[in-house]
Amino acid sequence: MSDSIYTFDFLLEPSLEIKQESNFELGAMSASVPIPQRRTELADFNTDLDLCLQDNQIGSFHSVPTLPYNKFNFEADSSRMEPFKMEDDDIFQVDKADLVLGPTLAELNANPDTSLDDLNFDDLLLPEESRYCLQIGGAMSGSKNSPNVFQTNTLTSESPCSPYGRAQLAFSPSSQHSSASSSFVPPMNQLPELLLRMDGYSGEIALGQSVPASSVLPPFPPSVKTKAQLSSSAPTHLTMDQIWQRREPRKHLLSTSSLAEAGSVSSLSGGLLSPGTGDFSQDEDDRDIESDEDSDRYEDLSSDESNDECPERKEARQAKKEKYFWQYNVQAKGPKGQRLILKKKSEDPHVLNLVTDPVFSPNCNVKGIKHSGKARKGDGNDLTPNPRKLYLIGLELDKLGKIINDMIPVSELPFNVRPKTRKEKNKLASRACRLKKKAQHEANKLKLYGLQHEHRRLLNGINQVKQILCNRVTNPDNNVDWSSHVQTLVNTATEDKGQVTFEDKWPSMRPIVLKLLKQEAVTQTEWQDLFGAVHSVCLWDERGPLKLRDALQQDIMMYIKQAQVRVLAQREDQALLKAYIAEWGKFFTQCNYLPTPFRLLEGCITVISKVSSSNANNSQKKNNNNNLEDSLVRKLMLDSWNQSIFMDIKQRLQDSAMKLVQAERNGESFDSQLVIGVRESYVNLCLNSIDKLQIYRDNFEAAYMQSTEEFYKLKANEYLLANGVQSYMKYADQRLKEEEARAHRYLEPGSGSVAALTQCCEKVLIVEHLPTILAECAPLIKSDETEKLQLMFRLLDRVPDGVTPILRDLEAHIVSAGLADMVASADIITTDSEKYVERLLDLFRRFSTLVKNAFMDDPRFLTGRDKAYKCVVNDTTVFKLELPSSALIRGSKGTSPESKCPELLANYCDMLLRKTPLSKRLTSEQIESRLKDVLLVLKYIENKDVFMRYHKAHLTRRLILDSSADSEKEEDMVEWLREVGMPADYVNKLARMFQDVKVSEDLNTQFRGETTRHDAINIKILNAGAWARGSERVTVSLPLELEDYIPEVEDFYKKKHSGRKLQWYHHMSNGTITFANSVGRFDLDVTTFQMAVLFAWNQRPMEKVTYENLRLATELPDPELRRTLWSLVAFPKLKRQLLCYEPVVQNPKDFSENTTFWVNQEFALIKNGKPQRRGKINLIGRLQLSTERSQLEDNHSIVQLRILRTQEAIIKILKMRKRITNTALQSELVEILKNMFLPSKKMIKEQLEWLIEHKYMRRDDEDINTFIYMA
Amino acid sequence: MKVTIKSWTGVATWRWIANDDNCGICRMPFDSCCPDCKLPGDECPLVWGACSHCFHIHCIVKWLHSQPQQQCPMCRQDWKFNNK
Repeated sequence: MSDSIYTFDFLLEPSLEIKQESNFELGAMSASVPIPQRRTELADFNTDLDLCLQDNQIGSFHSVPTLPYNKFNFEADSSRMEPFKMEDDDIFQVDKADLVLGPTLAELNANPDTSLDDLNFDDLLLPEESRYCLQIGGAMSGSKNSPNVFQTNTLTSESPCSPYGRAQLAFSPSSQHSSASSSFVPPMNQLPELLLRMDGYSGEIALGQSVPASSVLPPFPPSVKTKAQLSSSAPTHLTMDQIWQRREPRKHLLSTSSLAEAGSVSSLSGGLLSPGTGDFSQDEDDRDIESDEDSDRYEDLSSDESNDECPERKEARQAKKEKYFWQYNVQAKGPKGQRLILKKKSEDPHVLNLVTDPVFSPNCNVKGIKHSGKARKGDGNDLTPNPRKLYLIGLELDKLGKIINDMIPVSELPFNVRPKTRKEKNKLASRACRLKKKAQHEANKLKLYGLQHEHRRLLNGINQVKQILCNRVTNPDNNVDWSSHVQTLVNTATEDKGQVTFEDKWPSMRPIVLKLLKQEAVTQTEWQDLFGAVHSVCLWDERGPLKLRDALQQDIMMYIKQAQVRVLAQREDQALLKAYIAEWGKFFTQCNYLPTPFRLLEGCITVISKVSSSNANNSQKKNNNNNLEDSLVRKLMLDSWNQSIFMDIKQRLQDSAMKLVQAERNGESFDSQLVIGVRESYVNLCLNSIDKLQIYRDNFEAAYMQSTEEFYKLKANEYLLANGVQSYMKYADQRLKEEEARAHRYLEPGSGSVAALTQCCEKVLIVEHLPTILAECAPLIKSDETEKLQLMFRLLDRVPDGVTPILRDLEAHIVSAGLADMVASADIITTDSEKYVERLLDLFRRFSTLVKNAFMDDPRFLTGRDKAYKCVVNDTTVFKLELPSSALIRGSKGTSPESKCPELLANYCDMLLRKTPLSKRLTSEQIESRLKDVLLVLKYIENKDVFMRYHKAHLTRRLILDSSADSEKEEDMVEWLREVGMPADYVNKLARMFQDVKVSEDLNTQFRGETTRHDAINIKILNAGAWARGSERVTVSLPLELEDYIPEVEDFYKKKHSGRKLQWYHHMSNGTITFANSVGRFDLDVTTFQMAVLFAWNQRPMEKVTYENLRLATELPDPELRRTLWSLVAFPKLKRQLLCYEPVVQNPKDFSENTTFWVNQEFALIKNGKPQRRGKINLIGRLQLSTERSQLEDNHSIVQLRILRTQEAIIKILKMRKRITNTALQSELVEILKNMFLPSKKMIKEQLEWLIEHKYMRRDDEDINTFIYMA
Repeated sequence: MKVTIKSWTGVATWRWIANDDNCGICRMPFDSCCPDCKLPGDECPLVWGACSHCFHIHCIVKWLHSQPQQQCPMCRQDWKFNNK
């Protein structure tokens, strides 16, 4: 720009003051020290590089020669986005700016309409000037009315290769002043982010400060603005002086606003950005070119400047004598004193003035500005852009912000700590402020750097255009197409020149891509080049990613089409499959490799589609939404495959595959890999990232199922008709197994297909023939065909509810077979409990075997068996236990009869445990196993309380008469009963009985030691709680010998245990007497009652005694006496009875008062028809445990006890639940009572009524079926 | 004819001689045991105090342990075991 005809003077403007020293530290490059001065031209340039580039491109795309202003409109737009960022003051006025919540940089960029109308180019604007500018604009955009001389400039060559805008900035390899710059090179596309990060500060600040007129001046119409910009960057006119003159007063006006003075600082940035400085052009070559030229142009000028300026400045200094401390330290905020304004002689907007740090520059001659050694060189003096620092500051700020936000608000704190916290918070806040300032500074440096390059490029462009114009003027006859030439120039200057475009790169990329697709060898270099190319296209070409995608798609489609042709060439099914699988395999492999280089592309496309979401088509949007893990290119590839090849031939593929499977079913063999390959292609062809198996499921799986179903629908019927049900079952079973194995082979594992297929087969093979199969069931069970049953069970178990009918059949069979057996042998089993129990056990074993063999002990069948067996056990058709109804007690009618089974069971038990022929015959092990069997049957008995009652009675007899076969077994039995779940209190009582017997034995020993009178006296003193059945006292006059012992025993016992009262149970006591008569002497085991009766004759052996007299003598109650006498006159086992009587009666009840009894003098034991002289016989028989009357009540007491138990259980449940519905109560009741008896519905109802009546509970008022507990 | 007794087994049951049916502490019948025991009888005996009140021994011992003063829970007299 040596041809600049305008001279600008550096003026030291006394009215303005330098608020801050320039933060540029320049090396020896420039000797001149221009006073910081702002130049509005900078408004044209974007420092936010990426975005500015984009905008410029858009602008260039839109610019049409006929619309000359458009282009400049765009320039204006871009300039708006980056208003004066180089404001020195910004750095130190962050605080104020922080308060301004302006639009962020990103917002500004994204929305070009964001009005920055108030940029202060308006200061520069004059109507006449704008007209001029318009003309220039027209000339630049190729309008033919430019009258100037043209001269082509070779500088165009520079344009393609100078993307300073970003690349250099990012790499900054050779900055002379980068002593402080770190080696960190952030990825390029991170830079905008960094800037965006900071835009909270920088953007706002830039706006707020550089646009002082925002609130003062009315916005200019856009056209005016355009002109303003033009004016600033276009070659200036002679009126420029006027402009500056006009401007300066206005600046004074503006300076009233506290914001920075645009004009005053602009020269600083302008100076920096001037092409001549070259400080920041790190690219050596570029700098060489530029600095060569520029230095040529500027050399004299700059030196002039420095020389000329200094005196001026000195004058200014002298005018104001004060020395401010900023003069010592540039970083300090000086008083708002005078500002240094260096007025250049030539105010050429094309020339960016060089700025030298007035303090540190060795060449700075301004007196008083030179530092005196105290000034420190800080960050402010270093202009090397350092994105990393900015980034780190950002991180730091985030951290700080988080800390501050995490603090508890002061207002929520107690008063005493508030000041402290406030102080702390303030400290942090001010730290954040300082950091923001720093960040602002850093951001400015970056922007400055970019602006500088931008400016340089534009100036180059202008120069060239100028030359063209000159040529045109001087040589009007030349018919060269000037306009297009100019257009190119303009484009290159304003566009992001030197951008890598898609079109540039694609030709070199394409072969590699094609190679990859064809699976040809790709060298490492090629591979890496591809990465690089994609990277640069994505970064530099705005439309690149989309274009790249489209091109890629085309190629992929092409490849696929070829593949399709290759596949479809195959006519034959197997060959088709083979070809398809081969092609697919190749393609799918590439799906894993090809996307790798294009990974960056995905990110770009995502961003683009987000920005322009309005015009992004739906499918792409969808892709972007869920392609986070799945690569876009891969998706593209698979999509293309799916759309072009797969859709066309999938039917054929499926059909062929199914045919193969069918063939296998029919026994032919083939390459299973074919089917598997097809399946894999279906699975891998996933596009839907949510359901990866969608295609597979919709097509392959469905087809497989369908063909399977059809196949078996046909086959099954055929086979069934031809071979009958039983062999059909075998067939079905086998086929199911086969199909399952096949499914595992051909269907995708883990997709649930196998299960689905199995289900499908089951449906066809089993469900559809269910009735036919089930019809076979009952006969099979009856004939015990376990193997076939097992097969049937296996088949039907696969289908839901399949086994239920079998279960039903089995139960019916067990019940009917069991009962039939019972009825058939009714006469035996009713009398012989042993036979009965054994028959029961036999049945049980039979059924269990059946269940085990046929149904593999399936729990459902075991339950069914138990249920049915219970029916058999509790059946009452053969014999029943008539329980008196609760009528007698409660006043209602009889209960239903119950099975006599528990009684017989208890009897059987007694036979095993007592000294009987049976127990003597069996070994200990046999007895044990039989007892276990008893317990087994016991489980199925509903009225267990009856069993318990009988068992306890038997045990009592055995204990009192000492007739247990094995006391150990007795105790084992008690434990077993506990194990099978008998109620604890019952089992405890049994255990207690054993204990009492043992205690009594000890007591006996002690007693015998104390008394000398009779060794034959035994006492059994038992706990009334455990033993007593009724408390009825039976009177009897004991033989004299015994009578004496009674008080003795009582005394003895009292001594042993205080506080206890004895009650004699003479009906249970017994003894052995010696009966001597003329025949011989016999030992008789008798009850005490019998003893008492016999002793009546001791004094008068020959007398006949009447019944009445006997009663008086023995004092026995009438029923007991009758029974005792009857046992003596008609003992079944005796041929010759002990007593004779007259008249003969059939029944003890028929004894009258006058019936006479006498001792049979001929009594003898008869053995082998011969009377014995000696012998021993037991006359006790079944020891009477209670009196006659209480025995009558015995059965009542069962019922009574049940009633009490039921009441108890109901109250227990209600206490727990508080309120409960009838049904729930019933089921809980059964659960509690089932180990004793099965409460009948009727009894439950009665007891509920009774409890309600007695206010234990009540019905809910609203729901009659709900009961509420009343405490 | 002569009948002589060779041996005899007398059967008797015993009950507690208590002035009440239920234990005043646990309210269980004396014929059954205290709530901590499983079986009535020798393992869960009754005791009488000098005041003639009677309890399961487990119950009264527990009671006395929980009280600062050794008093009968029924009559508040000083508790003394009556070892008659």
